[in-house]
Amino acid sequence: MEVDPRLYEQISVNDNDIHNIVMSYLVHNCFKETVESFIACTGMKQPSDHLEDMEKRKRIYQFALEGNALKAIELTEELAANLLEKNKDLHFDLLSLHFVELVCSRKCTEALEFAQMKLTPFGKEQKYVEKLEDFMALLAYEEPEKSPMFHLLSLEYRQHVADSLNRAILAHANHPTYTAMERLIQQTTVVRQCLNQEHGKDGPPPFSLKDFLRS
Amino acid sequence: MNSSQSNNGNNNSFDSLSQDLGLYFLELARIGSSKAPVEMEEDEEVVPTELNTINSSAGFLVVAPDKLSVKYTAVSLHGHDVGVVQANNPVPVKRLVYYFEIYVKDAGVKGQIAIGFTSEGFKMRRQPGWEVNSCGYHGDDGRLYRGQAKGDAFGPTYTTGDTVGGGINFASQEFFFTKNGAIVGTFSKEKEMNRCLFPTIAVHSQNEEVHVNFGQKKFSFDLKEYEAQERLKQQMTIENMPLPPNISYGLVRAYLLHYGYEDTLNSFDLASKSTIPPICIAQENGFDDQDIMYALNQRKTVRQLIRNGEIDAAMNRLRDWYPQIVQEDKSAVCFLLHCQKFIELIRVGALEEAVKHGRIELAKFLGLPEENLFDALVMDCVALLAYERPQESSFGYLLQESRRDVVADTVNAMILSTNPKMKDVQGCLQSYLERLLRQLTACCLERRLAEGGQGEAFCLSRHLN
Repeated sequence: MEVDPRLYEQISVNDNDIHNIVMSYLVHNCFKETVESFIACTGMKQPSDHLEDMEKRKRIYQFALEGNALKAIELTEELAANLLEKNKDLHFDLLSLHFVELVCSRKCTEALEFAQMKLTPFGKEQKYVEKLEDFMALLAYEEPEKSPMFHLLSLEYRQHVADSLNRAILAHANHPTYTAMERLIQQTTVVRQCLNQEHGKDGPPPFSLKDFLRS
Repeated sequence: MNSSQSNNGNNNSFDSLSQDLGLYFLELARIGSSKAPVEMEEDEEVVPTELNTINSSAGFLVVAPDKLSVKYTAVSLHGHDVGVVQANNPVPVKRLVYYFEIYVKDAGVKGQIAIGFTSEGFKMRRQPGWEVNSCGYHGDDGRLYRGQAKGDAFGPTYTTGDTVGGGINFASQEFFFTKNGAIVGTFSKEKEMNRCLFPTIAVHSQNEEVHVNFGQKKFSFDLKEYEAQERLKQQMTIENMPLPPNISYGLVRAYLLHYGYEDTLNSFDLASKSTIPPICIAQENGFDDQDIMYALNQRKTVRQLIRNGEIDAAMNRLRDWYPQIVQEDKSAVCFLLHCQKFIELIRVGALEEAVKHGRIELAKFLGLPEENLFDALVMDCVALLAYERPQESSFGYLLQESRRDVVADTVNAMILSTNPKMKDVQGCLQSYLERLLRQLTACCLERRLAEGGQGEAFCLSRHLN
């Protein structure tokens, strides 16, 4: 049983809110030309200073995604000076990407040297020790893709790190770190969960975007 | 609205279908111009402002003329001569938190002061918490009383010079009490206590004197910080909800397609193809854009014309491409187009032409069955003629650019509805994104209803800003 929005006919959704939601998505994901086009088509006001930085963020994101962590780090320092200092977890994750690159190109000695110089210093804090162990373990395998830690070499992992970096840069510039769209989907899920708990089997089922779109 | 009507190409069913769609947008336009219901409700709830002198236990206490302090005047002898006083109004529930404070000016002989909440009809001779449907935090033993004469250990005692507060957190459905700015404890509000509750204070020994603050003065407790923390907690629950990757991509793309933003869409598609990894909205995510790709270029063209105020050009295009939409001259969509033309003429100051246009095209809409929709808008439009600077009048909203969007959206929906392969009328009205938003709002309202109508209303604009 879907909660029928027609029961609440007086809910009108403001065009402006919708435009802002779409814009928030486009800006977050650095779709510069699309932003410009959308502004032209809808007559929206331009988001303040987003556009220049968007190009830079996009490049940083892409470098991180490709695994070129050193370049991503370099550009991040240029764009946002103390960001990595303040985000040690992120810094560690980025450095580990470079480590993984070296391991994958079978440059094991270089990888080891890099790890000892850059990664092991993090080991002073307990929370990094486990992560360090996982990464170092990759060195033990002739074919790291077949090791139990193969997920550290995956595109998903790189995407996760790139996303975190993107959010950190946005936070640093005092911009929202999650798009309004993501927030809305999350919120709908949470509220539906509450309703589901309240009403049990009489209530609406847990929210699934897929099912919702088909309804 | 009857969504079970399907478009089988038959002219008759198209007419009734198209009439439905047009009316839908007309209604939306009318709602859009008045104040949103949510904002109004927050102004309306009464709040406690002073003590109620009418039902207080007059024999045992005296309330000061400003109705913000009490003094116990008798000599207490037993458990039924408590001096109790409630606030003049019950706790307002349509908000996140309610809170009030007392300051103990004098703990008197025994310091038997209490602060809490009681329901209407409470026995005004008993401490709050000693009877059902009440609760109280007592100063002499620091215990919490929840409807029985025996209380639970709760917090510290309090006496002369202390500031003690009592509050209700509607989000977590809990009561909480504070002493000198720090929270003493919380406990959950049972559903039975969902009735009307009054902030209540009580004094019970000679010379006890208590001052109350319903928010007129700054609280000792940082209420704003508490509210912020609560909102943050809610926010964290939401933020921790996992999301499948690229879920938003489909919604954005569907939005652009639905409203015919062809250029933006092309730009978007181009950019998405070159990302790594290329984002693909597989059917598995549930997006079926066959319906909304229909007539993308035409919709874009017409939208641009309307956005530029070129209503005649837009109508000509429609006559060429989709005559069935504009053939019924008394339809809602034609009405909106004619009104907009009228407004555009006023905008450029061509008043004579506007009047002529109004006589020819708008007059026929007066006196129709759907008069409440048509008449009101015609009257508002015509009223613009009376002002030298119409944009500053109370009808100025008609001259805003957003009105053009309303017309553009209506026409967009009408064109989509001509798609012979269209499966579902709802699909023409709003994009997936808006449907999601309505679903969210509806769910939040449902949820609040489930909690007895308590807590903050969901207001989308607030969330987005």
